[in-house]
Amino acid sequence: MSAPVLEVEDLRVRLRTPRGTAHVVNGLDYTVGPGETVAVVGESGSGKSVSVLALMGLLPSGSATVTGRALLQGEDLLAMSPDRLRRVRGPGMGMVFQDPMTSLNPVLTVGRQLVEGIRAHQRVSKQAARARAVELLAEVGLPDPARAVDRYPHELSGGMRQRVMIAIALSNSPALLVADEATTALDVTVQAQIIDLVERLQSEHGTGVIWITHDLGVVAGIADRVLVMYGGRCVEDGTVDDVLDRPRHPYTRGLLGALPDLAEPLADGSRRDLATIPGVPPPPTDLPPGCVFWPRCPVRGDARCETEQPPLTVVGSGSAALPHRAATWCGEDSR
Amino acid sequence: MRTNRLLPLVTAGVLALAACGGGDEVDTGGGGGGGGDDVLVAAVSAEPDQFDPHVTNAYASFQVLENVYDTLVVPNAQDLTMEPSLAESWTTSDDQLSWTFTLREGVTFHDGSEFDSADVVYSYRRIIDEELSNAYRFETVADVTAPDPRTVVITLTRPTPNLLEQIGAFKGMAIVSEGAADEFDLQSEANGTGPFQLESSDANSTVLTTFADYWGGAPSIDGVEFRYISEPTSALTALRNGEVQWTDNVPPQNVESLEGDDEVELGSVTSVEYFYLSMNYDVAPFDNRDVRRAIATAIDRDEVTQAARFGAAQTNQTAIPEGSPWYTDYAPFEPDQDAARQLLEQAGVETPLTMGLMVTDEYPETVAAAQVIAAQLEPVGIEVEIQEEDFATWLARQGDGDFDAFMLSWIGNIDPADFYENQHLSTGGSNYQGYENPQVDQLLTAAATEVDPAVRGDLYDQAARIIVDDVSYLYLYNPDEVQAWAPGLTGYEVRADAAIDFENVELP
Amino acid sequence: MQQYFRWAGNALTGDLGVSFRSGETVTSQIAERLPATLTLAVAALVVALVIALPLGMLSALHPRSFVDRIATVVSQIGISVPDFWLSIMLILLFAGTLGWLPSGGYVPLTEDPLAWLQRLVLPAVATGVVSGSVITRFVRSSMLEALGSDHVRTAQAKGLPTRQVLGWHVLRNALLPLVTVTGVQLAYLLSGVVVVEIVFSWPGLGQLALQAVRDRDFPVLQGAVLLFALVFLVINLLVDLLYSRIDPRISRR
Repeated sequence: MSAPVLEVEDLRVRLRTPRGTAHVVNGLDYTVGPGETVAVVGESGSGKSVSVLALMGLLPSGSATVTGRALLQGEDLLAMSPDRLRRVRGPGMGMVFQDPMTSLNPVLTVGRQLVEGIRAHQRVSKQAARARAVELLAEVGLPDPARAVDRYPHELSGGMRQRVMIAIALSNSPALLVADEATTALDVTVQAQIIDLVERLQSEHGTGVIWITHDLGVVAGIADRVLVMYGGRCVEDGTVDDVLDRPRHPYTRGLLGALPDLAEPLADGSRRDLATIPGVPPPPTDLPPGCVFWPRCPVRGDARCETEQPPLTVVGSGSAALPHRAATWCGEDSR
Repeated sequence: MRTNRLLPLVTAGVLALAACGGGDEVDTGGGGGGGGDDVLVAAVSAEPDQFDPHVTNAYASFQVLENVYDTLVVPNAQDLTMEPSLAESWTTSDDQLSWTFTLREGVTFHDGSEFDSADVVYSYRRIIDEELSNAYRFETVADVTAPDPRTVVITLTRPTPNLLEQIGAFKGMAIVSEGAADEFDLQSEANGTGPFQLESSDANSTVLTTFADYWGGAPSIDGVEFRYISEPTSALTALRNGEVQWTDNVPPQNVESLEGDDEVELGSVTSVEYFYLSMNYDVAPFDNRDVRRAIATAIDRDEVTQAARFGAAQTNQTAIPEGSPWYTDYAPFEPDQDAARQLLEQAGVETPLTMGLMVTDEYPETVAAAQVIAAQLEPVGIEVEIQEEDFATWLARQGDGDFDAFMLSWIGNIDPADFYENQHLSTGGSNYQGYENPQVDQLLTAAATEVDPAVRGDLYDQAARIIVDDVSYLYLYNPDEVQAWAPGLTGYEVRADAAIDFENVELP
Repeated sequence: MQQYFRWAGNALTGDLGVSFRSGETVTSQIAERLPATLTLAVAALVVALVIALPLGMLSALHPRSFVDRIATVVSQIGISVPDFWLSIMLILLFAGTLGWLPSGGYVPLTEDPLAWLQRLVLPAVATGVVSGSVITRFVRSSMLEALGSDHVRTAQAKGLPTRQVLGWHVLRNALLPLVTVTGVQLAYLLSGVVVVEIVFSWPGLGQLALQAVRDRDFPVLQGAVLLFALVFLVINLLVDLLYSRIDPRISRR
């Protein structure tokens, strides 16, 4: 297999809060290959967004401490100088945020925001950049891109704005695209369009994608692999088939519920969201000593669950290249 | 962005536009120092309202007019006795009903025309016929005639021993040129015979320039700029700085520190102004003489003076100040709280008795004095309710009789009639307290026509004593007139009547 | 009521009547003092912005730092300090002890530019400091809000240089509400800052209005109030127009 686009090793993020130190991300290990889509799922507060913001260096430097390694095409993002990091953002990785309503600068035209992103990293003339901007808008499927380029964000709908965000993220042909709940704020039909768009672009450009989501449709649809996060840890990861068909961690099982066929839409055409589990995730300032899911776990299959943290170990068969791992003491047969 | 460049341009534009205007005419004293040439810059605390001497009542206007116009006679700077000005000499007829004035020769107005008796007749007739502000001064005048250019004859309806004071106490009876009201806009222009001419006036200052042909000899300075600085700290700083060379804006609390200051020359004189408290005869129990006397006994005037004026005043139980030849040496009240309480009991008054005391922020010393008085009256069983009003309201309430007691001052008093008539004659125009004493009426009326100064003086003396005993007015003090100027400035003295005369000033 | 309509009709033709006190026309009295008030208002606003913009921005960029704490204390003092006291202090220090500047008065620019500037400094500072303190806190909070906004995060994620992020994405949005605040301050300043005018012998509209109240000079008072109302309206209009030019979200007709 070709070299991975992104290799994350033991990523940890600690945030200083008024209530003490919050351990928001606690030892994340994963890789993303070229053209591969990794879906990161979990409840809010599981540390999903923070982990990718950490990768991009977008956390407040005063209160956030980031350790570990994150090799983007071989270069450690976490060890880069601020200047180098700035130059990597864009051509190295692009990010699409959740809320398209607020993610664009309301006083600049869409074209302007695209052009500045392009000219920050490529030595091209304004006219060339503008032409490229129009091309990008066409690529993301905006109607009448030559006029759209001079529009202000408030003149566009949510779906169109998100397309613009994607155009911006892809404007410097990054090796990695991160989409943080990029479709959550959009309505269902638009969601489908956006997902299709990313998939198409990904296959055209070979971009690696990290897709943070609640949406099983995304997971089942375009994700190659899934990573389940809870309490700042990866509690289970593997191929989509592995994780969705044979979930090992009680948390994953809880999320998936006992639903027969998750990839199929319901009778009314809506996609199924993840099921809710009673209780709430532990506060990152006060994590339990043992298995991080223990306070909520309906199974509690092993004596070590309360006191010892289970490591992420390979479970089941499956290819060695994309192993199925879970961090749990529970055996295969425990229910 | 285009708009970002727009803003500074607009700002610059507005500033430039704004700065271009302001001031009707050239401000000759515009620079930071003592004016251009040899101009005396005087910091006064208020702006004149207008310049027509027969109409205006504002002290600020008269500060300027004093130097621009003349009267037939003027009060002497030291003792305020009347001496010649535009009139060189005068005689009175035997029946005292006719005064003949011989006018000075060689006097010219600012516009170059010659001064003669026609101007005097015109001026006085204007005041009398049009019933202007100071017409009451000519109350006893039957007619004014000019038998020849150098003579003016005033005939009276009754002997008027203080006629000279009436026509010369201040510039409200100034001589304007014949037909001046038609020829000039007297509100803003002046054609007088005084040492300075009115050059210009704007929101900043009033400028006078020297009149070279002044009959008293041209002043040595080139002009005077009356600059309006109402804040005392600013005025004193400007004086120290050399921006101004004279100011009357000296609050009494600064007097002590200024006395030891080398950068400032201080001048002070007991003025003819007097502060008083008066009670309403129409409001019980203040119509009771014993009640009023009780209050007069309870008060410690020295304490009041100290609080209100920081000692820059003379305590006085009568109106006329000690320096005046008409002074009445009478101080019957000694502060005695027990005696006061007894008097109240005697009067059958129930304590605590509430007394509303009307004062005004226009004269802050009345407020300070009121507070001390309130403290002094409290142990005696009188609760003073201090009612601080703005001046216009104060005047309205006084006129309506809507008060228990009020406190204020009278200025511009030279002749004893000025001090006592209007306020204590039962028919007096300023008798707001409603005082009626037939004996006082008789004394004052007799004194009004008594030509023998000694007899006259004695009549006023008697009247004063009764007024004080009756507590028609509770007199408090005569404030000092305090002014400050640059060291080395000569030719100026502080006057008890607070008139400001710059004609002999020489700048350092 | 009839009187009012007659007055209003006259006012439209520029006839505001005649002062009770001095006999001058109200229009001429107002016109005489307008330049002084205008000059002071604009100068004070300039001082205010010169203080507020850098201070507010620095505070927002380094929240809870030493600079921020100092700026907060200073602006708090600036708001609480009575302008009378500040004016007197300035006079005593700069005109009195140091003797660097004159203690007051107004000289038109056309007459003597140096004197004009010398006399403008202290009153403009006295007024501007108070105004500036209000605006500082506003700039700070506006900037903090802008700094934390999503689109700034996007701009950073694009890899834009910090200068560009600050200029086009933070400031460009943070300063929008400033237009309104500045407008309000300007309207307030134009109605004449009476206390400063009195202390510095600045012949402005505030003094005129105050004197008119004390003298019960109704024509002058009515004229002054009319002017203040007009000023307020005009400034509001200007602010609206400015907004429509600089904020694309506001539709232009």
